Amino acid sequence: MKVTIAQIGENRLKRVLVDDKENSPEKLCEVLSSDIKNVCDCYMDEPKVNVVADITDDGVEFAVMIKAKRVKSIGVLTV
Amino acid sequence: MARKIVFTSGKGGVGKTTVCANLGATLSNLGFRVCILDVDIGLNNLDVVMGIENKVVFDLIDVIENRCRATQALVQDNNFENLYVLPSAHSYRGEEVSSSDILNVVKSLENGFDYIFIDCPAGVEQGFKRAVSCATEAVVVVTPHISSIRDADKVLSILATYNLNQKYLVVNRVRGDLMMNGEMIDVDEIIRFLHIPVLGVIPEDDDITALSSVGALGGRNSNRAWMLLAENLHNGTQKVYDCKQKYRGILGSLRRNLKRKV
Repeated sequence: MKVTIAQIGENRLKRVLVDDKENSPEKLCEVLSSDIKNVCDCYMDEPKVNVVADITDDGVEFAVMIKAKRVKSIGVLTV
Repeated sequence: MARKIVFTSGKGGVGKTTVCANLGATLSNLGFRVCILDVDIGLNNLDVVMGIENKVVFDLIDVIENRCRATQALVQDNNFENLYVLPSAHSYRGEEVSSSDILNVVKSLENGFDYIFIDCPAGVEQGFKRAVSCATEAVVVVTPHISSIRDADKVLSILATYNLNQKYLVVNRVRGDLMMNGEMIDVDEIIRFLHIPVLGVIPEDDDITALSSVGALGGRNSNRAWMLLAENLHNGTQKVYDCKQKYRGILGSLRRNLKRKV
C-alpha cells in the first residue's frame, strides 16, 4: 500500500511530539517525584510527593510539596 | 464584562494577527464590541494588517506611562464600527513593561467591550507571559505543518501552568485539495494530536494575502469559516468548516488536478 506524504508527516509529528514529551518538565516532575518519594519513604509513613515545575527566564524552578501521615521515629529509620 | 482571550501559537507566521483581526471583524459585524490589544511591543503589526496605521495617535506605552487614558489610545477600524484597536509601540524596550501594566490596561477596558483580544508575540519569552497572564481564555493558532504543531504542543504545556478557563484550537491556512490528495496533514489528526477543543478551521485564502496589502480584512474563500469561528466562540459550539468539501466528487477531483497544475 502506498504511503502518502500526509501519513509520513503524521508519523514524523507523532515521533517528535512523543520525544518532546519525554524531555518535558512534566516528565521530569514525574521522575523527580518518584525519586523524592523513595527518599521520603525512609523518614515518613505514606509520603505523597508533588513536584511542580515553573518555566522562568532563567531556567526551570521546581516546587516540592511533601505530605505524610507521620514522621517515623528514630528507632525505625531504615537508613 | 469582556471575555479576555489571548491568541498565541509559539511559532511565528502562522496567522495569529490575521485570525485576531478577522475574528474581531466578524464578531463586530454581528454586533459585538471588540477591542484588539497588540502587545507585541517593538514588532507591532496589527495596525498595518487592519489598515489603521495612519490613525494611530497614542499607543500602549503611552497608556502604561499615563500620557493618555486607554480609551483615548483606541483606534476605530475603518470598516467595522464596533471594532477597536489598541496599537503597540513601534520602538520600545519590552522588558520595561510588566504583566501587571498590561493587566491594568485590560481592566480599564473590560467594561466597555464584549471581547478583548490580546495578540500575543511569537515565542514563549517575556512578551508571551505578559500577554497570557492578563487573559482568561486562550486560542492557540496552528497551521498544518509539523513545526507549527510541535510549537503549539509546547505552548499548550506552558499554558497549563496559567489560570485559564478554556483553551481552544484554530487551524489556519488549510488546503483542502492537498489534504484530499494526502499531501498535507489532516485537520482531524492535528486535533487528535493536540487534544483541545477546536474552535475553527480556516482555509488558505489568497484574498487574505491580497487584502492585507491594502489593509483590509476578509476573503471570499474564508468568509464562511470566519463566521463559523465567531459563532463557535460566542455560542460554545464546535461547527467546523469543511475545507475538503469543494474538492470531493468528480468536479472536486477536477478542481484538485487543475489547482495542482496551475
